[in-house]
Amino acid sequence: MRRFDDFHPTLVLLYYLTVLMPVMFFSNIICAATAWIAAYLRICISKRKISAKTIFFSAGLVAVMGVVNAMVSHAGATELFFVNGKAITLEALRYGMVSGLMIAAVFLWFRIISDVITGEKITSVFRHMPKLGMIVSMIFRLVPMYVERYEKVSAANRINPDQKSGIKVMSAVFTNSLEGSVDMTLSMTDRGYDFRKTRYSRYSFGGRDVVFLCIIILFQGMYFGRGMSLAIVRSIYFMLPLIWDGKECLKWLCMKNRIFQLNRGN
Amino acid sequence: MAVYEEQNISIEQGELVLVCGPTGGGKTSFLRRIKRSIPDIAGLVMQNTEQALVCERVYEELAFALQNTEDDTAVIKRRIAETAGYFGISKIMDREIATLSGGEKQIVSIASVMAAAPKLLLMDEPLSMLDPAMADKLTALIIKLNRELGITIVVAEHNVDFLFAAADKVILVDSGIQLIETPANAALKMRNGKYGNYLPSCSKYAGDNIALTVADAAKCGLANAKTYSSKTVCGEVLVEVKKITFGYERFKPVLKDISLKLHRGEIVALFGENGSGKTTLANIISGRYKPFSGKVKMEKTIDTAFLFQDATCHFLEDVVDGKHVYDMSGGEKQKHALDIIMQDNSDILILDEPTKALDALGKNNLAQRIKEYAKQGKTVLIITHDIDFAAQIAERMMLIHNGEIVADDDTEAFTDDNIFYTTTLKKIERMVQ
Repeated sequence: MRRFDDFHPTLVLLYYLTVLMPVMFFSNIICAATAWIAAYLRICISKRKISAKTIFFSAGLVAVMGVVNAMVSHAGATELFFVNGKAITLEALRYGMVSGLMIAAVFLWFRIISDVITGEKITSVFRHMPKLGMIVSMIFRLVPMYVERYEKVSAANRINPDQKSGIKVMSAVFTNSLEGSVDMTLSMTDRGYDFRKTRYSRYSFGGRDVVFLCIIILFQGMYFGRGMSLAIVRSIYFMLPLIWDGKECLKWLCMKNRIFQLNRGN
Repeated sequence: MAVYEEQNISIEQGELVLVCGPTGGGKTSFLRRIKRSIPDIAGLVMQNTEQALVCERVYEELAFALQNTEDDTAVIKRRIAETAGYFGISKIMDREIATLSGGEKQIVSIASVMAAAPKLLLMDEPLSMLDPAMADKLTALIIKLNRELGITIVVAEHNVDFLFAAADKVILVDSGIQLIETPANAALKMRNGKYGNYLPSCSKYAGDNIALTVADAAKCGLANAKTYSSKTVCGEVLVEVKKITFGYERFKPVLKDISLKLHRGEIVALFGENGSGKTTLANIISGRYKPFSGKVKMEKTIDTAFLFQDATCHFLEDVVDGKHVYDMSGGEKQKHALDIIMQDNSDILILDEPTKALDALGKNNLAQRIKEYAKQGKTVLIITHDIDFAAQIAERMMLIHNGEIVADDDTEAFTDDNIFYTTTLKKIERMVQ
């Protein structure tokens, strides 16, 4: 069935952008907490296990930021104890911890984004900027190729990762890529490469995508609310991918049952 | 009607032309000349597949040529679907090109040129990285493209066994065009001169008759027959691989519980389909990868040397003896890389597809060098598709399939038992009996 990330890439990117922005700019504990929970649930579902490592990582970040902020900033009403004549306040500690949670949430969302946004999705976004799009597409082809080349040349010459010979390997990789670029250019021009033309993309903008776009825009409007309702609205927005994927999953289970029954009937 | 004309040669519409000759002799330049003179209707499949593929995914590569001529997305989608179906690559459409095997890359390269529907197809060594079965299929495809769709095809190849008889014309290029004839006449003219080695291998076994295919050779009876090495190996065991399992992804093992032994002074050939795990196994023996389970038992004093498929991986210096390394021909690059490797005098030498860029002369030289190296008491493991070459020098042959070693015999027994994975000589023998 259709996954959330199979919507038109520009929209998907827009969605993730509109999730990251409030989390990064509003230091609100409910915002950070809901964003973190939504991201964590997604990661657990995609990895099919409860990731303890992620929890430790986030907890560590929260603790560190809390302590650092408490030691640096001494503003706040409730004094807990004194260190070197400076006050460690509850407010500073709490502010730091919320910042830590915020950063942890951003980390998790970026992790999801990097799994979801593939190179081809990025090139589809650049459809009408063909030069840029071509460069991005080639980067996704060439970078892994060069990294593999480096590893191969090192292995071929049994180079240990020490500074001097690492440079020799790099030089060999450069030479190889320069020589290869001639063939690459020929290959492209042979096939009539024209950088002015709009690139092909297999994503089309359909009715579903229009609805999705409307939903994104609507939710942005509701950000200018207050209090509890704001928290609920934000949580729903962060959970959108989960809600969608969950709904599709249920749909599939129902359909599967029906297909199975039909088959048995025959 | 001539599609291309030059000095004293012409290529007619709808012909299938084979271009053969030594490496560095000018075959690629010849194809490039044709491409440059009629760029719009000719498509060139390049020799350097790695650099010819510029996009991240397979379907992008297929769309590449089409985007430049078509504006309609629907038309592009249709052509991609057609081309992918014809070449059998529909299943790998979404794969990243960097993860494909050498043979798969080659097919994608050909498909991406064909997607633009050229009237003249130029191919520079399209079979070089394919196993015999795949090479057979691709040759059949080339012949089909020519006969059924009427596309003029010019193929430059070393591996002429399959194409020689099917061609309408054979052009021999060696610093200029030496010969342009029908296959039968070409065979007559070439066989007694220095170009005799560029004929298909079955011509060697037909005595005085002209034989361009195994069937022809079988009809003429068998001449120059020989038996291959059938000695059992009895040197000390240098490497013992015990039940190793390995894969690049967690739940997809490429090698499953493989065990084998390599003895001192023996020459072993390893065969298998594209992507069956030959290079992977060699990498494990040489220590580049560690297996998930099982062990590679090797004395600490034994060291291995590995010659990569791409010989240029071994070049750390840009200029050797006044010549830039990338200006060398394929055969010279191979020789230079082998020089570098053999300097270390390792006990075990592993060669990955060493005959890829070599013509007949180069192969003979390579065979000599390997034999001499083994005489010093070294072990040589050759991964190759070229069974005729391997049969000349190997004493033992192995076949790997689906992650397991399914055959491990001395050369005579191996080539005798197999129907497809065997030498031209054995194929003829089987028909003659």
